Amino acid sequence: MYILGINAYHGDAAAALIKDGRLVAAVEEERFNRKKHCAGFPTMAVRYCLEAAGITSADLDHVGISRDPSANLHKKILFSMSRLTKVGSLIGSRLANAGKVRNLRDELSRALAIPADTFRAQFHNVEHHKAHMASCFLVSEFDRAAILSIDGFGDFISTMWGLGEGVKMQVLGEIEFPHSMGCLYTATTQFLGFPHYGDEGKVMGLAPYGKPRFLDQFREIVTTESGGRFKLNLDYFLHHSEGVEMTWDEGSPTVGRIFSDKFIERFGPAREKGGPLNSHYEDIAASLQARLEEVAFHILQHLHEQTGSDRLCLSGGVAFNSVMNGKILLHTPFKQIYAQPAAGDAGTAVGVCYYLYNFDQRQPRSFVMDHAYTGPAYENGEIESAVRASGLPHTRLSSELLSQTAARAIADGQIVGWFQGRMEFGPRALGNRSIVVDPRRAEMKDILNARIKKREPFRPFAPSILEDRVEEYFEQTHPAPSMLMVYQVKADKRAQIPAVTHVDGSGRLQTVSRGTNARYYDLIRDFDRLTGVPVVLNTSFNEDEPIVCTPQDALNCFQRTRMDKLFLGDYLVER
Amino acid sequence: MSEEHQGAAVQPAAVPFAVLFLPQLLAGAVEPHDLFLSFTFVYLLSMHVRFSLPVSETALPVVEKIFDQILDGHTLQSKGVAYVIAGAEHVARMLKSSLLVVTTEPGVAQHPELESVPQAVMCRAGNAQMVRLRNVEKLADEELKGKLVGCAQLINIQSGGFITEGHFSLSW
Repeated sequence: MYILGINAYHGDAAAALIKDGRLVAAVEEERFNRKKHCAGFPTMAVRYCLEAAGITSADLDHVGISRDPSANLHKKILFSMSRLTKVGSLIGSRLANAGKVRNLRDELSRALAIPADTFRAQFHNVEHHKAHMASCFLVSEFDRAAILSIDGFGDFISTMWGLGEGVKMQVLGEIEFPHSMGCLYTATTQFLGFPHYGDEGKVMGLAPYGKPRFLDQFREIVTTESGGRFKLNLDYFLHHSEGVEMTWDEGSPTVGRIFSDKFIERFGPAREKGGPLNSHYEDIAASLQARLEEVAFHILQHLHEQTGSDRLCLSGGVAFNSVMNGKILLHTPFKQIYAQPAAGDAGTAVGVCYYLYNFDQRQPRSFVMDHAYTGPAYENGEIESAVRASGLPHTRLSSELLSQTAARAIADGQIVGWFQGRMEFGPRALGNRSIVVDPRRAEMKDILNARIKKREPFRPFAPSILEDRVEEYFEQTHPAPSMLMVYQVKADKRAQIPAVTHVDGSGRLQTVSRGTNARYYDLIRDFDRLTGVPVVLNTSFNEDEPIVCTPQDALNCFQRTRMDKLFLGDYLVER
Repeated sequence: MSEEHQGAAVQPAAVPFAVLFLPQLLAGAVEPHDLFLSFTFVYLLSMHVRFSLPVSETALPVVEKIFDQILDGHTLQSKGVAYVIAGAEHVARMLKSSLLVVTTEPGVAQHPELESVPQAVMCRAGNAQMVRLRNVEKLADEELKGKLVGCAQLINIQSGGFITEGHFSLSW
């Protein structure tokens, strides 16, 4: 049974395909069309998924999308109508630019340039948060677990929680539009002068520089209620009265302003994009982060009481807040966490597949998504052709020599491009499309930014560490294979790995096991053999663009920037 | 919003009224999930016109429960939705003399006399819930007409499919 799952018309459009319950492919559209967080329809991602499975669209049994217009429809209508006195203005001006409306069958048919009647698949709509919940629980190793999906909005819901048991997921609670922690985070991110879709991670990185001296104000902006519920003070927001305007004419989505003038009255002028970052703004970021954590733990305490499970599955865009995630084990009764690697909307493409396979089609669970390497891979022949065409000097190395040579270069302070195997699904480079440097050298952060990344200087870089050595370096040891947990670096190790230790002594680690990524594990092991440190600095292989996908993308990035060496499959490419 | 249980009483002819006619509410076999949208639609229109809702005694508790859920936290002005426990003849008379009928396709099939009455038919197109309007030009009340068309359009746009390009202001 072949099932295609799609996330479309939200940021991070993506497709995933499963065969008899096994994940064959999952990938974001942005990697192909090179437009960050691309919304719209994931045409190229769908094509890749079909190709990876060796099938055509006629072989698909089910196709689903992580959006169900009929879900909570009456609430959407009631909400719209109760806030708009003149229907004419709603229809006339708000939806005038809405563009073409099509159904999924027609859309897929257009994307693949085939007649709609060639599909034999059944088409499905899966409610947004149910797809999120499926994307974490149904691919986790847990037979029974609490589930939390938390994001901006999807199908009128911002937060949904429940209990997963076997192939069933029972919804135990939800928070409706306009109350949303994702929306609060985005609004504050905009206020702090970071207007782009996906900039929330910057604020998470900024927060440790500040003190949460505005926590009381944020407690007024979002209040908690019994039953794990929370509520926004809507005076601070525009989205409930004017809608959240999202456009994606050029591929990348842009989101309209969400915070209201009351935010400015409370906190002073909003920071201009690129303007100076002073302690005032850092304190706002710290306060926001602290309040997010308080509210999340409030929900999770209730969820634990409801389910009695010590296991938690996490998804939704807010689950990218790895600082929050890392503290869950310290501040709630949960003892094990599984987070979908593509916790944001891209991951709903996977969720749709398993919702349809396990829940809808009642097939038993048989798959655990224990890594995110589900994108395109390239044979050495393809790589060699690309390298030859580039004219760059190159050498083919054995696996052993490859990791040893790369480890030596890293230990010598060089910037190494590391392109291996299947591309990662989700926003994190996890050792297959990574740039790797020496974490012992504090100056590497600035060197990386100056030569390649050009990121804001306050943003931390992340460590990859051998799974069996975590205890030596971090205060917590729960596996973090998808780089979705931030733990404190042990006090006596911080000076040893300064380039990956944030200002508050934390690190957003990736735990690397040989079972899921042997070549990357060997690289870190060889670095450890040279230096006695089983940690490397891992950042995504890109330069203000989506993570590289093809060998050509990698070579382009290598040539554009001042990377020292590129390990492309079995090839070492130099300048 | 006011609601009242009218028993067998008929609306006085002089007071314009509309009818929400859902055959399943008289047959007693009620699937609550199917009722939310039509009840919401009628609740919104009840700002402009009082509605009568023929319902069997067995379906009444479900109907009341759903209205409670819809009304929770909402404070729109409403001229009311009156439950009417009535027989088939009575219902037919109501339909004939009503200003507007909100119904389903089985409702239209049961009452051919609705042919010429302004009506909003709740229906499905694939997975999407839609509203089809008929004879709306016969509505003299321009405000009601505007509201009816607007609500129906909003439902059809929201439920009808996916925005493929450009700009989507009402992103939930």
